[in-house]
Amino acid sequence: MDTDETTTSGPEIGPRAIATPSAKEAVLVANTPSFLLDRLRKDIAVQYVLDSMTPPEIMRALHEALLRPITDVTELVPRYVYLVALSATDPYDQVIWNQIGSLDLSQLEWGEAIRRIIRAEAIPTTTMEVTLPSLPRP
Amino acid sequence: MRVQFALCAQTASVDRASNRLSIFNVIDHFPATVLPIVIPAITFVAVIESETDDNINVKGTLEITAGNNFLGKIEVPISFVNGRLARVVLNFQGMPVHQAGPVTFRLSIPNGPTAETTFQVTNLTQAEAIQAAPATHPIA
Repeated sequence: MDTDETTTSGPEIGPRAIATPSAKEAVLVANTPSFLLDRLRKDIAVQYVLDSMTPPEIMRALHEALLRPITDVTELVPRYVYLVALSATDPYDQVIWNQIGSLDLSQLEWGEAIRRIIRAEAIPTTTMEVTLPSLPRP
Repeated sequence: MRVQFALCAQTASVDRASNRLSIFNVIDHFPATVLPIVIPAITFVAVIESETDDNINVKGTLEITAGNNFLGKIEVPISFVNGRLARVVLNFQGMPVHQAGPVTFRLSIPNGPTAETTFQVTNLTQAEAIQAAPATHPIA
């Protein structure tokens, strides 16, 4: 995990890289957990995490982040970004969902509420493409 | 277990980020200017609710009929994973319909409910002919 304070250019997967100005703004202005969830889902930071990391990697990054004490309010941003990114986890992936369920989110004021929402929204969907044989004329 | 809703639409999609279901152009009837016809795209959507939070896998059976014609039977796996809801989204690439009348989709779940929806295929040419026909009772 890149935590290099001097990184200024290029996409890096690390707390500094994903704490984008728009993600910071979302965390700072959000007045409800669902607002924050919706805002971050559309944010480039979450999209970037989803494009660059697998669910186990996101899980590990969030778990490690949650073990560290928060010294500055902006340190909340990557934690929320990782948590929201985990909402895209496949509903059938029970290993990750069990790990999400066991996270200690006490550092995040709306962590528990967001976890409840994303778990409720993880509805499994059976999707199939079907081709019917053409019928002979009656 | 109960059926929350079942319907047919032109398309449906599940958002990758939010896992929310969107249904576009719900089909309540299908006007056909010519018969037989192939309905180019049709999607059957059903949401099933379970009473428990258990992980349950069931095999449903979807039967499609158009009037008296049996169009097909498909086995549909339905999974409730750690939750109370499960969705079924089946995309049909072309559905042949030979005559005007009801088209019915019936998803049966063993020891459970049946998700059923019907829409009418109407023959516009016939309907226009009926409208244009002179009244059978003379007006006094």
